[in-house]
Amino acid sequence: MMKLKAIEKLMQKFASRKEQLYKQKEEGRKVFGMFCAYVPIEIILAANAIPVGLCGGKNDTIPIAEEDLPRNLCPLIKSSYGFKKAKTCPYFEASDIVIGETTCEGKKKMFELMERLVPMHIMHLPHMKDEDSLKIWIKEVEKLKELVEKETGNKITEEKLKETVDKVNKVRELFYKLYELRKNKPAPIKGLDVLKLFQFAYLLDIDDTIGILEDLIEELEERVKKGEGYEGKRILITGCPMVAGNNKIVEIIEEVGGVVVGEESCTGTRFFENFVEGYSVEDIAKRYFKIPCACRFKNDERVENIKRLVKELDVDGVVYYTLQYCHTFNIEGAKVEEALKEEGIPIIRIETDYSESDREQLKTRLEAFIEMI
Amino acid sequence: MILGIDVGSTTTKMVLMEDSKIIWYKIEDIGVVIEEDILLKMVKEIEQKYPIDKIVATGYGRHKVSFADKIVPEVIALGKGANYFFNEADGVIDIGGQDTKVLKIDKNGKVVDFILSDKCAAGTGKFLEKALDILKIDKNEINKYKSDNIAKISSMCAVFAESEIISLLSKKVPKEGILMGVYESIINRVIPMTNRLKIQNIVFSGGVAKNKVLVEMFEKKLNKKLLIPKEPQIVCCVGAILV
Repeated sequence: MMKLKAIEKLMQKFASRKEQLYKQKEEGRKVFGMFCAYVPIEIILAANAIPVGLCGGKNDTIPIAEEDLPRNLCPLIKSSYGFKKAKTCPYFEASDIVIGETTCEGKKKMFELMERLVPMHIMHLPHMKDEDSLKIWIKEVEKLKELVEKETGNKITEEKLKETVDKVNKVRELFYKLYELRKNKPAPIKGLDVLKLFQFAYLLDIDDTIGILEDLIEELEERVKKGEGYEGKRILITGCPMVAGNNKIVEIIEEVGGVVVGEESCTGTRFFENFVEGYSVEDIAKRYFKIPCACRFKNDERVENIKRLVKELDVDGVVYYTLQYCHTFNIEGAKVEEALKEEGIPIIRIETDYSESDREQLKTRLEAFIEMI
Repeated sequence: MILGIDVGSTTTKMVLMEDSKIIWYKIEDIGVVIEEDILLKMVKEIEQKYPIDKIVATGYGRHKVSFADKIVPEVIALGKGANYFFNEADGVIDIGGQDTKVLKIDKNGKVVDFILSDKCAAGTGKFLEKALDILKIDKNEINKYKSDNIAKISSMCAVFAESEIISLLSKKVPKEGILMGVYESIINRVIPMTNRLKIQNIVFSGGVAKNKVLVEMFEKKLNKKLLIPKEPQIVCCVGAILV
């Protein structure tokens, strides 16, 4: 099959993003680093600042991180910290300030050490989902607005906020469309391409992301019309994020006869599902509060979401993906496994890190799983 | 005749079958590091005696057998092989060199669910081998060591268990007691896996199944007999031929 032009464009835009970002910085725009899908980027964009995702997905920066952090800690946290310590991530180095949030224990405590290396602002994300917690979160988003205004010197007007809410909602709408197209058989796009799209959506200029998504959807509609696409067992991935640099599992799945048709993760549905309904800070806060991350207490919506995605995307099997030492997703996996088995949906749980040492073992397991379903 | 080649992490198994009957088999003490031309030479030797129609490969090193007509994932092969030896089986425990596999299978030997030990050597054949190394016990004399005084090995990690064994030795705990402790730690790691899959009639395959003392302890803990073929190391290879 021909390569997708939109994906080629994605790769080009990514290759030149560093240069573009530093140019935007020179023009006086502030850069806000962030570590999570919970950071409301509308607020940052409304002050003409730039949000960039900083989560680390590479093994290379882990050894230097382990000088300060324990070895038995999630690789994403170690890799992220290592990037700052080694000063090897251009996006990190471009960030004027980094927004952290109280999601999991590992990140929270790592931020206390990272604060010594870079200016940080930590948002309090309540782990409960009740009304009182929502109130706390709304206040946190208001505080973020004040901080962003102070850092940039730009007032976030109602008009500006409306504009950015519409823009970010546009990105969400396009991702919804992409998922709609992935329901088709054969699947019009490979999971590895979509994964890169999610990974780079955290880094690229939002206008570029919109352009790429629009082109992609046009191309995929064409493929669907012609009945072109990828055959193979249809796999839904669920669990930890797979940030830039970490493509191992998707590569293996698609190597052994599967095709990833959906990803319930921060590099997936948790990035775009639910629109901001309204234009106030409160409306924005409410949308982000709904993200079903395993760090939250009684996260039942996630299980329901997975079941819904299995049906909608006509999934043959679910790969539950946990990064080693990510306790929240690992433990929640028991609930997900139980719920899916009850419905007769095949599931395999995979625990891995950023090293290549287990690639062959993972291949053995995923190959057998795909053959089994 | 179909030739099955199972390149495991520590041994290579070859089985020749005709009409679902085992004609010949061989187990070589070299695993995934085996060179392809040596494999090819071995095949040529067999070909001088038997007509081979087809070659099937499985195991951790299955992709080394580039001349195979078919490659079968070992989990799938294992289910089929277990069903061949024991028609009534609904589960398989395979303790191999590289990992431990527990399978749930249907009455045709089709795998319906499985668990593999994660990124860790605890409870695998490698772990046992390492322990034998430290205890200076010859693999072939393993069944001579038996004791009712089981030393406690609390570490689940193969690396930590190694230092635990050394410390037990320094406390002059008898070798056989330590070895029993090693068995117990392997078994304790596998039992929760079998419970999770709710399997009853379990085939025990892989090299570790040849260890009579371990099997006895295993059966006692499970409170049932395990189904063990005469040659437990070729189950996967036979299954690959039958898939």
